[in-house]
Amino acid sequence: MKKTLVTLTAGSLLVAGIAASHEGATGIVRERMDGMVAMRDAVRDLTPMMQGQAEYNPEAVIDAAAIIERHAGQTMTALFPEGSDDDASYARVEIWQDWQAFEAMAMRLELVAEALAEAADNPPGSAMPGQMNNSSMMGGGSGMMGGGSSMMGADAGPDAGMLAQMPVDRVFAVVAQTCSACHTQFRTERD
Amino acid sequence: MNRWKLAGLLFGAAVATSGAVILWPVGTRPDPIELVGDVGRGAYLARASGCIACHTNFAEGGAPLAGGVELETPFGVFYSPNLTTDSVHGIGDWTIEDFAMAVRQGVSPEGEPYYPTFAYPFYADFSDQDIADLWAAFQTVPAVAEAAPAHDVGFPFNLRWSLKLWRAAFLSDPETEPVDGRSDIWNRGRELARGAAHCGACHTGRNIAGARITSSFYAGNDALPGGDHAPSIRLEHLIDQGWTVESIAYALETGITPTGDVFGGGMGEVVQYGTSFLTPQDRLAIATYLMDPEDEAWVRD
Repeated sequence: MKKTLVTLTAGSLLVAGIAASHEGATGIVRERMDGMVAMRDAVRDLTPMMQGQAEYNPEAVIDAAAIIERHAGQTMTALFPEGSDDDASYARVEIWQDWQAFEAMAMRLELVAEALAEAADNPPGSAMPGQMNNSSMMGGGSGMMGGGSSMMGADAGPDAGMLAQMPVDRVFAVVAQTCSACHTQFRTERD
Repeated sequence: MNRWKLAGLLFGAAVATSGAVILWPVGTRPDPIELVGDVGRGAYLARASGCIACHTNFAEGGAPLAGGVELETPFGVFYSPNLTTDSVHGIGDWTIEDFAMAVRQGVSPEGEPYYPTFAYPFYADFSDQDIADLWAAFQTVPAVAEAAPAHDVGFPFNLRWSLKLWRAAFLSDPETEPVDGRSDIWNRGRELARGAAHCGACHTGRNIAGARITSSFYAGNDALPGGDHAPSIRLEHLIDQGWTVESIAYALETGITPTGDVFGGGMGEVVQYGTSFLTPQDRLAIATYLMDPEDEAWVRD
């Protein structure tokens, strides 16, 4: 109940923002924006838990992961047909110039969202699986190589099996990296 | 005097003036740096300073620090140079003093000014130890025997000597030193934000000459290379958007914003290739500084 109230309050505060930036969007553009917003809200709802500011609730993680998974993969790519970058859209034309990269990222998001649900059994702060050490993940900071970033190409980085064994907050960070990698390359920043 | 003599006089004056500017020396050879550099600290500083982000063409699978990242500006298209240890196409034949002058002063070993697309003004306060650490880290980068593309800059911006005039008009101190009475963490945040992390390079508006406008400090920039947009990071706007010290620190780690959105554009790259590699304390320091800005940083003229 309390969670619902908090969500509704936060959601209503954001309505103005959504309306302003998605104003005028119709049809398939609107539909995919709504999908993005659904994923965004799922991320927002998990963040306090992932930061250790709210009590950990694995069911909430599974629910949120399902929302992200549902809107990723082919569900996402089907909403970006050729030529659908009208004035209201934030989609960059590079999506269709680098379709394989875009598609790979959408599929990667589906994969990591599924792994997030599987990692729900590993609360934030739990131990990393034995064969990996901290510095091999994003932000390990060793050396001058680009290798610390797992987003050189959407299919680089830990596979689903490895992710499922990791603490859930680390997998959540990988989900966020996946969103960011796509936004960096394929979304117009104009707000 | 007839118009031909006048024309000749004016032409002569123009040649003499440009000749004087061309010959006008910039850059001061630093004293020899003999400190031992630490590769780990240097790599960390390279991440914080954006060296790896700007000089590695991640989008095309480029080798580390081999350059070639494209920056489209009103002055032309710039390409980040090769900073690998290759002695022909990179900086393999440089000395540490060459490196110090390049990074802190924006002047090449030949005495030529770099374009301000290189964020050197933010690195002016790096200590000799910082330089030694960076230098040690840069020595570990595998040589790539391929030059980055040359800048595609048309007349008159291709006249490098004109940058000397730009420097005289616009180059200013980054002001990264500690402020008395402020906490250690705030001062560390100031040092990073105004220095290595060079937030103002994107978040401060620029004038027609491409120089940052002091009164636009952190007010945002709508006209970034490639059509990107940097929002204001001034306190009232941060508060308006629901940011807190904690959420800024978290965003610098994960790219996640208070609404659950995730950074895209240049800021996505800043996190992916830069701030996600910082310590939690350093991210907290930057966040602390941003949410408690020094008085009148943007009121000063």
